[in-house]
Amino acid sequence: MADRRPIESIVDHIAREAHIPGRAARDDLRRELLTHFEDAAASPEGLQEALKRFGNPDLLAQHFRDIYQWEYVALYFAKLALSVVAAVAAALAVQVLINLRVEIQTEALRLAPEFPKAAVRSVAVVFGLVTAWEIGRRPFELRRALIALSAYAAICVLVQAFFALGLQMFGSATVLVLLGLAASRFQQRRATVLRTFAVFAAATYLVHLGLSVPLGPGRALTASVALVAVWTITVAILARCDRLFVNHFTTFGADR
Amino acid sequence: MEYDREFLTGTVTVLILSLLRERAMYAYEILQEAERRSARAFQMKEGTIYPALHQMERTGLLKAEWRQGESGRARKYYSLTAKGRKKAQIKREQWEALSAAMRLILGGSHG
Repeated sequence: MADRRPIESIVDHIAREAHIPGRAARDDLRRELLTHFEDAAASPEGLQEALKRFGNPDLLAQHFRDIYQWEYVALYFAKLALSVVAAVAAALAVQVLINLRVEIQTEALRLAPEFPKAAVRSVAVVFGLVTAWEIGRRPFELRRALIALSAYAAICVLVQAFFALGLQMFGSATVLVLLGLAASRFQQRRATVLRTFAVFAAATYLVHLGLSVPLGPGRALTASVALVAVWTITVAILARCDRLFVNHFTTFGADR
Repeated sequence: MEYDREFLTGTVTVLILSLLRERAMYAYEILQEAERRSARAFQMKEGTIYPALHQMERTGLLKAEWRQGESGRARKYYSLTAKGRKKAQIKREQWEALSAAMRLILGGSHG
């Protein structure tokens, strides 16, 4: 009986790298390729010859990727859109919760005057984080990184066209994202979340102090609680959507 | 005989459609049959047949099902759909016309 390990390893590699949507379809390909080698390499002596006749596994996986590339690209953008919509909705919900006030005279609920700025900044943080996530995705691809950066810049310009504070908000959000990344690197452990919170609080307080805009430590802490919540929720959403996407195209583990 | 990839790309589809016109076959059987009928002149990297079969199945030319063959082992058998039969006929006619023309040209250059 021939040692099937090289064959199984090659077949697994092809099934993993082929980017065929759906686990059932990948398992089907795997089964089909294994039956190929049952026929082609019945003896140990025939194994090397069968592998040689079979051709380059990487090239074969590339052929499969070419077949399914449009489905892959379409679902990639759908995943991205879903992540962004969910994260933006969550960010706005967090800011609404933080900025909701009860007006005592009328006993009505209203949003604090700081809400619009805080909401735009939170949304900008979401976009910055999505951009960083796409750039940091392994394996690194220069083209994907440039597309992500260009999209971020385009959104920044678009927001500036509609809101006068767009550039300022995105500028400060970019700084916050860079600081957050330095503090946490997308990790969700309690220690890194606390470190991110401390960094955000210090940055918020110092930036306002530098600009001579009054902001007490208490409000800096409140603003940072909101930012950390937005940060944590966004990373969780990105990770979940990524896992769904990767599992749809790969059986044997994620690429992050 | 070794053929370049560009030449093979068009040929593999015709080859698969032609062989499956006769009966349902699994991939390795298609390869063996092509090799046998061409007196081993037609040998390609065997793996390349699988993306071709998948592509043809996706475009509705083929359908596939797992069933036990004569050896008793389960194999994925491919057969032509109605669309595939039409395509096979068209491809066959095109190929015959083209090869007749090529024979005239190649024959002329030698004559």
